[in-house]
Amino acid sequence: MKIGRIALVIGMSILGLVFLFPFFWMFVTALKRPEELSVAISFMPPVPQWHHFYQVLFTDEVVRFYSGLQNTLIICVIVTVTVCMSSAMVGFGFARFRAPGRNILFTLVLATMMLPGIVTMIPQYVMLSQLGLLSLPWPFCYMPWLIWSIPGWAIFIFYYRQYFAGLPKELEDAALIDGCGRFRTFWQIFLPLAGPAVTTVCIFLFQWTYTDYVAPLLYLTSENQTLAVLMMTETSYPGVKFTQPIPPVPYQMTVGILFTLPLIVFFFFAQRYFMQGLATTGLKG
Amino acid sequence: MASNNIPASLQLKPKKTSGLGLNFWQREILAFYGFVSPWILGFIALSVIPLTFAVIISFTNFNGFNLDSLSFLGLSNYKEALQSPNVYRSFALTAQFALYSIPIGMAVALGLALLLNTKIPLRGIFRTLYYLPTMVPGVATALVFQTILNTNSGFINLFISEVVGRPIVIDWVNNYGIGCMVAMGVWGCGTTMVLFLAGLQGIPEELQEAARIDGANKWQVFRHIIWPLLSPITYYQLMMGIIGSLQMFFQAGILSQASGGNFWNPLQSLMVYPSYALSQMMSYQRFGYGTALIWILFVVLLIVAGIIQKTSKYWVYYAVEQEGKAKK
Repeated sequence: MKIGRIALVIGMSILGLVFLFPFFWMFVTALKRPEELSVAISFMPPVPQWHHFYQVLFTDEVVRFYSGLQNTLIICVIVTVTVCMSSAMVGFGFARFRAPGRNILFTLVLATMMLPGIVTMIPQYVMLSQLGLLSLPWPFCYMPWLIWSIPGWAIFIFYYRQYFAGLPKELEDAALIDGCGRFRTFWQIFLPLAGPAVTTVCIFLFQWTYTDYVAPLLYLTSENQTLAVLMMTETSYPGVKFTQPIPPVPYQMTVGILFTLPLIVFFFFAQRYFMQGLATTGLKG
Repeated sequence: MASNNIPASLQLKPKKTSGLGLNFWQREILAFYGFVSPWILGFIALSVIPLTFAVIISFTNFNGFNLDSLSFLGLSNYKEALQSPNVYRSFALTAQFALYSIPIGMAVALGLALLLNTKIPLRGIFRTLYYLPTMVPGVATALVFQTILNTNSGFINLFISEVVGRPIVIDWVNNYGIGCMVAMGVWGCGTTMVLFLAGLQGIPEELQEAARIDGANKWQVFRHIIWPLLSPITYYQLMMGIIGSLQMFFQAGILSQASGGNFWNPLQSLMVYPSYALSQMMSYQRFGYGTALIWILFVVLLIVAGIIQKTSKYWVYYAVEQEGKAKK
């Protein structure tokens, strides 16, 4: 029995190492010189190129790191704040008011949740480009994200609806009797009570938007591009001019590590919410 | 009406109606539509209109620029799609991807969840470890898999070369593109694992205890208690897995781009059905044809989802107390 358990822990550790290996390989690759890439396995390059990190963080010769990060974060803030608030509002409407048409509308919300994103992706792109919302100058280039965010997202509307429906009816009655308007009831009484739900929704929104690739690729021009896209398309090998273009793999890996690291750190602080959020949103879907 | 003996400040006055003179229920309806209006507007602007537009252009020769001079082709886009060998090839790749990635991904996730549900030391650390890959952005995942799978400099080829003692040059991405994407998917199975784990933790210990006392072995406990009680989650995962893998194009595009190809027009080995449709639109400007391809995909998705849903009553088990929970 005891031996079995020890074997189990050892087996799971080995499996854990397999899961960790790509992280390790990312790191090793980032520290290699390009000519070292295809030489036999070296778990640590003979001369680790730590200056790759320096070059990415403190110069612009590899990739416009801060410009990309800034655009990523602006989009994250726009989407997270707007979707979180509007989904809460719409979810509250579905949870707390009786009106003809409510059930039909809610069925439609659920139906859009099941609608594959690929079906609307390109028509939306064509329409927004016909409306002239593509490649706008700086502050306006984020318009598409605002347009997607204001209506709220179906999955979070559903999540908030379930949450608000679980809160006692008396809260609302008390507020109404005291003369509190309906929006104020939502804003000052229900939203503060939905703290855990708001946190969960924000965390997922932030992660999804931070890692998104397709929408920025479709809607942003190079000068306002996010870090995820810049890493793939505009990372270059700085310095010496080579006769043949050298794939900047170590530099891409360096950017990749610096891009992933904030998410990993974020995860360690918010782990509880991730796990709970998955369990609740997933099981109710 | 009101007695004059009562001071004016204490007299009940009829409550002021709102400016519009509406009663309580009318205001409730107004409030509901007020709260829900952002979604309604968004639904019309971002779903109804684009979908209508997509239906219309799937019958035309729309190329992204010729809105003023569109010509209607009738069903010819759909006919061409059903006759094109490229379409069938890409669809076969998608089917292959779904058939490998869903069972493998779910089996690994369920296995890990079962292991994590036992009382072993360092459980929390293992859970974090297996979940961590899901936090890596897709672009970074594709890059790191590319460096692991690369023909000349990838870890796998270097490792095999080392073991065999002679240089091995296998072009994994170009020959086993689907396998590479399945591997990427399995690495990120942490989400499914957490869902299974949550389900396992919801199974009452007494049930398993009782079965064990009755002499059931570990397999029997799994087969007759854990599996049926977990089946709603399995069903949900299966549905999501199918919807996800049939419309999967991001992994193919990004892995192709990381290997030096194009995002919208992936390598042949990675040309799954949605990627093919997108490449027709984004690389060849055939928006009408591409949209028709997407609508065909949508119909296939509905059929497959319908079949799974119909069969669910034979294998998905809804416990009484779960129904009670759902009603709350």
